[in-house]
Amino acid sequence: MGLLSLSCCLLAIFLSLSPALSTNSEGNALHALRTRLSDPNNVLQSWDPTLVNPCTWFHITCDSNNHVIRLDLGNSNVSGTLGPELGQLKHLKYLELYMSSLSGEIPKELGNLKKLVSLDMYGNKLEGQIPKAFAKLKSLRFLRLNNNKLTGPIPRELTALSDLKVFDVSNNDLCGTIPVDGPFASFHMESFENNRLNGPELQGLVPYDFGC
Amino acid sequence: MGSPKLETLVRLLASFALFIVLLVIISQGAIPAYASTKEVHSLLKWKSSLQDQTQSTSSLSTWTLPPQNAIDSNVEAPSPCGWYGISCNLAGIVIGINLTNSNIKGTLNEFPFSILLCLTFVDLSSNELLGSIPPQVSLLTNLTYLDLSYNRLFGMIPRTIGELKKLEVLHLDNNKLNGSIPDEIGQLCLLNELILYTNQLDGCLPSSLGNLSSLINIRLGQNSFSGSIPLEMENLTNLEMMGLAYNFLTGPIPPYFGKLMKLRLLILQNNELVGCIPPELGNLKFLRLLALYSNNLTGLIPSTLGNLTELIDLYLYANQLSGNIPNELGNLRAMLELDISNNQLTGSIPSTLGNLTKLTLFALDNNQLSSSIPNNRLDLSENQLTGPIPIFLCHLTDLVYLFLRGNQLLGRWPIECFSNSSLSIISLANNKFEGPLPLPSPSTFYYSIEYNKMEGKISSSICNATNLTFLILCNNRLIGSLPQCLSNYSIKLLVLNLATNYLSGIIPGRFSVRSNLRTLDLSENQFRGTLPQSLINCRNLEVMDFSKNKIEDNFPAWLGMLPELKVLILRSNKFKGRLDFPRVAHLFSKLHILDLSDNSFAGPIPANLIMKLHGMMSVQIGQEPKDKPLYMTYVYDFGVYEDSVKVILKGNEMRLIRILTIFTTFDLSLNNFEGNIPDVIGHLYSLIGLNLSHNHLTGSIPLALGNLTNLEWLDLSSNKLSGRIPRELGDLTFLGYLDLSKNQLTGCIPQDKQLSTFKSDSFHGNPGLYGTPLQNTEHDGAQAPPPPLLLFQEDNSKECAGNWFDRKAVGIGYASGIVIGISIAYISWETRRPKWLVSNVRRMERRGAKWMKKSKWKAIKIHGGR
Repeated sequence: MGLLSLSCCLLAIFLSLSPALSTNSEGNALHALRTRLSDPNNVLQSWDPTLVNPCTWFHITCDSNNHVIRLDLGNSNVSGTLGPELGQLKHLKYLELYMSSLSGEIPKELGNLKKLVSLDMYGNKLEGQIPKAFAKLKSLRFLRLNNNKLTGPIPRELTALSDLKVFDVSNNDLCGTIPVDGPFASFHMESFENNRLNGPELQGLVPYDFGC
Repeated sequence: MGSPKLETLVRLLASFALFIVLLVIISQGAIPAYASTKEVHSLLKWKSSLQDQTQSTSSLSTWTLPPQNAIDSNVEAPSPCGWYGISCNLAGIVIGINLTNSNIKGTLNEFPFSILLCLTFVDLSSNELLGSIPPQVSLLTNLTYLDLSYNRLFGMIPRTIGELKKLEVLHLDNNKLNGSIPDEIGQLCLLNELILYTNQLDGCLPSSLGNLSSLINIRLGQNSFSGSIPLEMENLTNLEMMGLAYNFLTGPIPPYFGKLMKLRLLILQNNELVGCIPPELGNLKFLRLLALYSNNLTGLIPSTLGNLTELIDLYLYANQLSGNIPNELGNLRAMLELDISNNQLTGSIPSTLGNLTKLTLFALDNNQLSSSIPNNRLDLSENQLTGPIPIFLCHLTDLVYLFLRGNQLLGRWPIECFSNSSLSIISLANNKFEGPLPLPSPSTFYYSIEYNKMEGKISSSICNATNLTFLILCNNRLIGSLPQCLSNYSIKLLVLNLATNYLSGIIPGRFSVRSNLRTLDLSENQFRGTLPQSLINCRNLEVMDFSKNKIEDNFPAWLGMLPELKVLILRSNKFKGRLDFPRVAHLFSKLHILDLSDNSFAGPIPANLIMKLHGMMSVQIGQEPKDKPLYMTYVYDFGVYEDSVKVILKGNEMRLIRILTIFTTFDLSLNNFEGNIPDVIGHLYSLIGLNLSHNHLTGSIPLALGNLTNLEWLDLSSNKLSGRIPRELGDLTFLGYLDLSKNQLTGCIPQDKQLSTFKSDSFHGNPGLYGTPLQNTEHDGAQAPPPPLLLFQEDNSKECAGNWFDRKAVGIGYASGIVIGISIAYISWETRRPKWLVSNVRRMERRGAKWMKKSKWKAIKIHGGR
């Protein structure tokens, strides 16, 4: 086991060091995303990996230091899965991937995007659980995952997101109870409807994943 | 079964006890008391012969006898083992002395060679030892390591050194030793390292060196050795480094060097070696450095050197080598430095040298390389070549293609270097060239020297290059005005790029109707006056960039007649007046980048101008015809020219290295435009950037902007726009930059879709604007509260006030949920069969919630509808 994990670790290091088209890690991450996605409307055709940075690519916004701060692919009809490489966009503040045809699980590496303010993935076909790693997104104000096929409970860790203002997981297949702590004290109940949720959490009485 | 075990245990215990006793005895130094006393006194005697060793701060201050009473009491015999630089074996006998760099001044005459017979290691390097090496050194027959380098020893190397049969390392370099190497050195058959460089040794190299078959490293450079390299060295097959440089060695390089298969460094420069370079050297497959320069070598460069694939540095300069440069040198892809200058090489420069992509030094100068180059082509682009201009290139009259782009080359080109050449392509961009522009020749088709430090004026002699099609001089330090002839000397000219220089004066105005000009980039200079009307003759113009000059003119509407014009950038000049234009059917019909920002244009934004911009109205991005190229490029025989401009993109100035044909922007910012934003702007469907900021625009934001679904940035800031922000802007799903700040907008900020992803700085400076994100943010803490009247208006209650009702209802729902939840938990614990009850309670809860808020409150749909 140990040897296996070590070799995996070495492989990961090797892969991360292997040369890529661009020397810009954010450009590499986005280019890796492009290779995952099917793009019937050609919205990604400007993503030229030979450029020094991705700041002139469409749907990318950089700050004055040429760090990617926004990725806007809402309503773009792209399909496919998201990968761990999105976690390399360390300066990202807005990740707008709503109303497309994304499927698969939400990569837990998105939890590395410490500056993220808004994470909008509503209206896709995403599956699996809401990553607990989202609890690391301390700047997050908007988290909209509604209208997907997400399952499992709402991670209790999200109650630590003190800046969270808008939270919407309606129209999924979530189970368990609804957190009541932290920002969850003030969310619309509409944000939770059309799931298999069992109403507000009863701390100490019923496990939060009751009914999962 | 039990007794043998016990026996073993007893034996073990006994031997352990014995071991402990021995350890105690040895550590107390009881056994060698007599020997150590002798060592102590002999070393102290040597110490007393040295200078400056009396102070307590000296390096040998620990070299002292213990106090007298200690010796009397016989508790501890004196031992040197704890002294600085002394190491002993377990028996307390001195086996090593390491006094390197210890400020030892004096001679070795009193050194106790006859006492310290067990010495295996002596390092006295980097001191100030004087005098000669005493012959008694031979008494140290156990010595494996002797380092006396970096001292001031003189005299001969003693012949007795041959008796140090166990010696593995001998360093005597950087002294003033003279005489020859004694033959007896050949007896040191275990020697790995023989380092004698930088002395005054002379005579022939002894043939007995050939006996040192263990030798890995021999360095005899910077002496005065003469004669030839002995044949016997053929036996040194373990040699990895041979350094014989800076002597007076004569004769040939022995071909048997090709058998020393482990050689990594072969350094023979600055001798008087003659003959040819043995082709056998090509066998040395581990060779990394081959330095044969400054000898009298003749003959050809052997093509076998192309086998040395590990070679990093090859120095053959300053010999009398002749013949061609072998093509095979192009195989040496690891090579960083290649210097074969100052020979009598003839013939061609192999095109294969272009494979040497890591080169940092490439010197071919002072040869007779004058004839043709294969394919007439020299391509050394994108290396790391440094150093001065290879002037020999000026004499290669048959060279047709010269690519030196992307290196670190320095210096000035002779102005006439290329003017009589056959060069069709001169590509010198991205180097560190300086001085005046070398002139292209009448046969030159492509001349690029951008991103250098070229100075001075552009000479009118440049107009002799009548075949010039690409002239790319941007990003230099060129000054003065343009020669009049530049606008009409070559009807072939496609690209004239003089951007980012210090050029001034008026743009010459004799563009001919026969002009083929496609790209005219004069941006970032100091041009004055007006745009020459003769530009209208250049019917093929696609890209015009005059940004950052001092041009004073009215809006050049006549440029709209250019049928192919796609990019027009007039940013940061002194243009003025209204955007008036003639009534014609087609105007700017292919334009997709229009930048008039930072001028003094005034008047309204004419709706009928916008209606002409068909290039900005084309079908949805991604759905354009398949044959439409992705970038604005021009393909020629030997490459591709890619148009490139700077634009203000999402608030930052950015260079588009390549211009996407779908890159569509409309920028009128920083002018004095007034009146409304015409609704027809919603027809510019392919726009990805719209910037009307910093004008005096009034009226409301057109709802039609919501049609521009390709928009990536929208800047309407610093105008006098009023009314509400249209919800339709929320449909701009690709919008990554929105600035509506500093206007007179009112009402609540809609939070529809994309509009909810912008922070307060997109909206601030509008006193009548309120709602998220302006509320409760630290930046806008002082934001004026919404006028109380507005709160009760019909439309507002839908947007902002709605939140309040919802929140209240949720609170009530919550309370009921908790109560009901507790009962479920209780019951499920009591009965362990709660299903029917749970669903009943849920139903109750739902009914209760509906009752509480019929209109808005939708109850939590538990297990709802699934």
